[in-house]
Amino acid sequence: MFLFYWAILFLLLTGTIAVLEMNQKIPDMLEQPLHDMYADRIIIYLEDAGIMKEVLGDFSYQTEFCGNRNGFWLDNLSVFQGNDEFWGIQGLILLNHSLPDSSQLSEFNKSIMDGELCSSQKGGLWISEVMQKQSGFSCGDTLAFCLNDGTEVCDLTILGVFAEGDRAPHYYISEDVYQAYARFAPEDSLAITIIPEVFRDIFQMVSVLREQGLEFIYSEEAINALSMAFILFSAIVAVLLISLFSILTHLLQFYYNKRRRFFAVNAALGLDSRSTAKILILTAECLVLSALTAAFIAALFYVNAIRQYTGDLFEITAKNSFYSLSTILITLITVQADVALVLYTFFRRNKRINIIDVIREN
Amino acid sequence: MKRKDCMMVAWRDIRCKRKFCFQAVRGIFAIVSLLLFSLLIVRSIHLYYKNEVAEYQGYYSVFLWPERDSGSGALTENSRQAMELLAKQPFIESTIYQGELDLPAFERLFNSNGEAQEPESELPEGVHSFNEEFIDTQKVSVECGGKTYCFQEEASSLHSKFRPTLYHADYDIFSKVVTDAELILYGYSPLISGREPKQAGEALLDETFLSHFGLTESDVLEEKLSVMVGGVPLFSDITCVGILRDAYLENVDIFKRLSSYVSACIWLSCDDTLFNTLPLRRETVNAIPYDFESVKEINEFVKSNQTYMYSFDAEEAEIFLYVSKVKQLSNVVLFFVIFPILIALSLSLYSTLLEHIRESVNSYGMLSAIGMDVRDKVRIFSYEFLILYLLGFVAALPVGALLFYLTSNVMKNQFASEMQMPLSLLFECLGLVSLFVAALTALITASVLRRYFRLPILEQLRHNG
Repeated sequence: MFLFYWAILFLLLTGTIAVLEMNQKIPDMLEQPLHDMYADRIIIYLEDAGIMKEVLGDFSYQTEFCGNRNGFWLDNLSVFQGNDEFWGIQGLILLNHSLPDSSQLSEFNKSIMDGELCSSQKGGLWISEVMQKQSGFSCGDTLAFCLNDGTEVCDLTILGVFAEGDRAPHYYISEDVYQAYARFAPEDSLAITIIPEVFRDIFQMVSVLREQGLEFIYSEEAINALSMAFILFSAIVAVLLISLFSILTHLLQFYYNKRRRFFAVNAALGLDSRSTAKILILTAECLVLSALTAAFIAALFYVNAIRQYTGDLFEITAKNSFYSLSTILITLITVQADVALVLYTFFRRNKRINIIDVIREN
Repeated sequence: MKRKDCMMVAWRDIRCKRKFCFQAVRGIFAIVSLLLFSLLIVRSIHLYYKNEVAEYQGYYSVFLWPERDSGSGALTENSRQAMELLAKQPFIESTIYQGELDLPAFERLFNSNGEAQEPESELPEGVHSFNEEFIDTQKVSVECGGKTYCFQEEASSLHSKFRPTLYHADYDIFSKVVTDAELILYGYSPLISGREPKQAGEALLDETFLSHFGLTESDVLEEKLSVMVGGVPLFSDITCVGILRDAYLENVDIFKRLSSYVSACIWLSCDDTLFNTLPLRRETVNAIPYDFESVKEINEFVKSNQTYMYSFDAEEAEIFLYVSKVKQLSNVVLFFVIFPILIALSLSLYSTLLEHIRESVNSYGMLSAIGMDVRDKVRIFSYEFLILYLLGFVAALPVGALLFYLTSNVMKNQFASEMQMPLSLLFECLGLVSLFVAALTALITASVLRRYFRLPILEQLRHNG
């Protein structure tokens, strides 16, 4: 009988520990491919970048790019109009007024090779190293910033030259230059690409942006698929913890009730309630701790197998590791709380029962 | 003994052993509610994948860029071999070849007087002479029934704010439109009227073309068409055999950067000779895989064949593949987690009910003593269990559904997704739970029959649980 209960408990504990551990490790593994595919970005369309602070103030994120809606890359603004060599050049906006402390700005300033850093005080134009070599322009040159139809927006001074990275544009204009442009293109708006620093924030960020009625786009399929996987893991954890708690309670109560007559006889022979409690606790702990130890060993193989499978599936390196502290604590606390609850209920009920009545029970 | 009597005996037995039966009902309640809750969660997530992911699958395809010889316009030997190889791959359902007219090349082919010119062969690679004047003024038109319909005017009216550039040619001419199914896969609804092109020189027009020029189907169906560039026929004597419903969708996802504006198209069925005469740029091979899982094989194939270039759809393919993998992982995790839970729950229910029977052997012995046969005892036991199960089930039903509802709400706030629970899903889960419990009952009944009910009457009477 004891072995029978032990087997049930072992199975449940193995499942619970495995899922708890998977809930900790697997989502992190699933985030990496999304990051590699640049699918963890949100593009928000705004008239004024300052709104970002109000709406997403509670989250930490990086501003990766800032372009404009009608083209994302500013290739329809021909700073170098008339020069056929620069057909299709692409530019972006530096948010130096709305978000002067942004990571975009600090990252950009690190890439400056020549000229001035971008600050909130001064606006202008920065060109890439490649563009400088091709065009022969240098810092301090002034260019006319025109629309495609030839309308002049303003004069722009080249303030600096930056080193081109993997995804860098040909040039950057500062925010005040964009504002000057926006007066000529009122239907346009900023398109700001952000990356949440903690990936899981993306779900809440999407909710907040949706609630605020802002226009934004993100990789809906991938993010939704991942959120469903997170829901699945969380739901299974909840189901397993409830199952574990209720079934362990049921089993312990069942066992204690079966042995009630035995303990009543012992009590009649002079066994005090403290000794009875010790016996019951020892019995329960024997059952629980042995099942728990076996379950931790079994679940380790189980979790590593799933982790290996996930690694192979997503072509990422899966490192075998020991349990996280939270998994061990949650399982231990759940099980011990349950044992304490059952014992408390048992002793409270036994206080009201006459020993003779229990012994006479058939 | 009649069935009604058996049921009455079972009911009385339950009432006599209220305490024990309460425990059994409580056990059943816990198990059923948890099982129901788990099933609802699992099934609703599966439903999500089935509805959402399968939807994308229908529109999914991989675009590849083949190479053609700049002089003759024919496919290069490497490209031809790779394309043939691709078509033979087991993961490819079909391929559609698509080409956009190279407008600067047209300019070289047709001068402003409308006379054909020999193409210049000495142009440096990647350099196109670009004459805005030509794009805006040259009439690329369709002649039908003695009237001329200008494509360019139509395209300009739709895209007034876009200047036609090298990147946006407004003509799609397809070399091969094979079957209705391929059209659907490509994202087009089937033919509105007419039939599929079956031989070279047959074409389809889309409804945008008709509606823009105020034409009816009868005006163009089975009529001879000519495609004119600057007044010179590019194709003549093409027969319009069908009308397509234009089903381009507005695409809002940044990772699906297909150009998706609506413009009039001619879908032309032609043989390779005719196809090679077209000055094409951005020719693509649209390879439609059987399923998401094939994407990986296609990508590997593409990588190993240097003759093909990736288009941006490779990024899209990766996203779909990722979704497919998450789905696969969820299935595996669910299977491996649900399996031990089900065993544990079954064992728990089994032990509860077996204990209940063990307690009742004595009373069953008394029934045997007054002449009841084994069949009736099994019947009483079954009714007894059925009543207990129903009591537990009725109590568990709202609790399971409530748990699901609460979880769904919490998840909705926490994540940006919402879980759906249609009524059919609830019934499906109830059916599955019932089936599971019925199988368990059958197992317990068989076990009880073997262990207790076939004992001699005296043994049964002496049994004290």
